[in-house]
Amino acid sequence: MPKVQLGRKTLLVGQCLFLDTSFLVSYRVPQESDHARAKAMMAQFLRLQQKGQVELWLSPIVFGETWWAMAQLLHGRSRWEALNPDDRKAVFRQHQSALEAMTQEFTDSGLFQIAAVESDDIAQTLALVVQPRPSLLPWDAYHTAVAERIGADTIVSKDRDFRDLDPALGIRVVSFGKT
Amino acid sequence: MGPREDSYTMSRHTFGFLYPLGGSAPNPTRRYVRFAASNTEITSVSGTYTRTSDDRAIPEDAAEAALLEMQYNEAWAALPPHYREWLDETAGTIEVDSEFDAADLPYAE
Repeated sequence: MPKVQLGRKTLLVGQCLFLDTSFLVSYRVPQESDHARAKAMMAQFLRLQQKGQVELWLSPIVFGETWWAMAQLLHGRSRWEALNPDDRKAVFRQHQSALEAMTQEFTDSGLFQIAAVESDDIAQTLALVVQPRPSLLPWDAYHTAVAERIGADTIVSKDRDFRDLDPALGIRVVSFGKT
Repeated sequence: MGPREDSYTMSRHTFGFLYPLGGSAPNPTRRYVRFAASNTEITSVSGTYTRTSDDRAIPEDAAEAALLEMQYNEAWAALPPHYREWLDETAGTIEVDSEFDAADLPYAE
């Protein structure tokens, strides 16, 4: 089984890895508390990918959620909360080109696979994901459904909500977070 | 409690990374940095530092950071050029507001 070294820990991963929003944000933002961990992990993932031992998957909704988080962070919490709904929409529109640029960076690199899953397939899979775990948040349920449809055996995330996935899905969660 | 020993194996790149953290002011990283500086003349690609009970000031975070940096550098060095370029161009390249607080992130507890 492929493995990565993260500090003093050795983490076993699967062969089809779905990288979630928390991983992308941590990798891109130097101030993020787990940035160094995500960066070390990404380099090792690419090494494994280059040797043909893993596939690295992302999805459009991961890009979208990542930029949704970035839009808030780039504006600072207090300023973000002070915005009215119309202004928030305007901020998203301003960042639309940045989102597209980030998506393009990952797509053009040729290093990642981007999941293109039909909405009907997602709808059916969401039932499998959510029925045994109705408390799963919408974003997390959607990510999990995409991961299931592409055949991912691992979700890379530090989001604790993923730790409660139904074991029947056959998807393990590898956390890169320190805690 | 008896002497505690931990080994850290660091690349020369890591020495270069840690050295600028030094200076005259006493701080928790100084002992660590002094070690790095005293080993800048070695010709091999790694060195080993044995920590004893006298060195409690060395923070775990600094050791963790050095290990992560080394692990990143080793993986980076083993990759083809276009992989390296992609990492260089994307890792940590989105600077956020100075108000940044990890608790603001949507996946935070």
